[in-house]
Amino acid sequence: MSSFFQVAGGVLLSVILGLTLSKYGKDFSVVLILLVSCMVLAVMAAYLEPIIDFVGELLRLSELQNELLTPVLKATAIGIVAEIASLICTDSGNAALGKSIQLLAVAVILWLALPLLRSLLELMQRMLGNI
Amino acid sequence: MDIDLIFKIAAVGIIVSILNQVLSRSGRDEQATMTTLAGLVVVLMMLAQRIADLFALVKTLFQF
Repeated sequence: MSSFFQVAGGVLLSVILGLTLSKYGKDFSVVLILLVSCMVLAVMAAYLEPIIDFVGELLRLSELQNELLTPVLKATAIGIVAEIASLICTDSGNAALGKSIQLLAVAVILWLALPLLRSLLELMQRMLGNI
Repeated sequence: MDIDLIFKIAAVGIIVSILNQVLSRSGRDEQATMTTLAGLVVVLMMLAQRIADLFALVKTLFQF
């Protein structure tokens, strides 16, 4: 919990440093923001690990297949990375690139969810076939 | 969170910008551009390893 306050302090400090650097050259400012984003995501991953373990435990208790959880986890990861990458692109003045990353993430997530959608379709066909 | 790396990148940025100003004012614009590029490459090399580490961590965590 105390690492949250440390990270918040570090982020605020790097915002000030980024503003100072952007007066001289925007390149270094973008690199600094990118680095700090990577660090914050790494700290966030440490907190997410027990949560993901807990979700896996819930899946075992409910006796569902592990194949159901994997696409959801992958979609979450892609969503987080795409959102951060998109915001960094937008902040550095490349909104088109940011939007294209978001569109790519949507396409990849839909591709990942295809097996789930197929199994849902099969379930619906079985249910409607029984009527 | 490795704060040292943030300060390192900020320091490189400030030094490169000062060198850029000095070289530009003394009429050596090509060298100023090359200095800025070199500084950017150094900083990007620091960053690339961190990004690779982050992606490896995300892949492990989210079971890719």
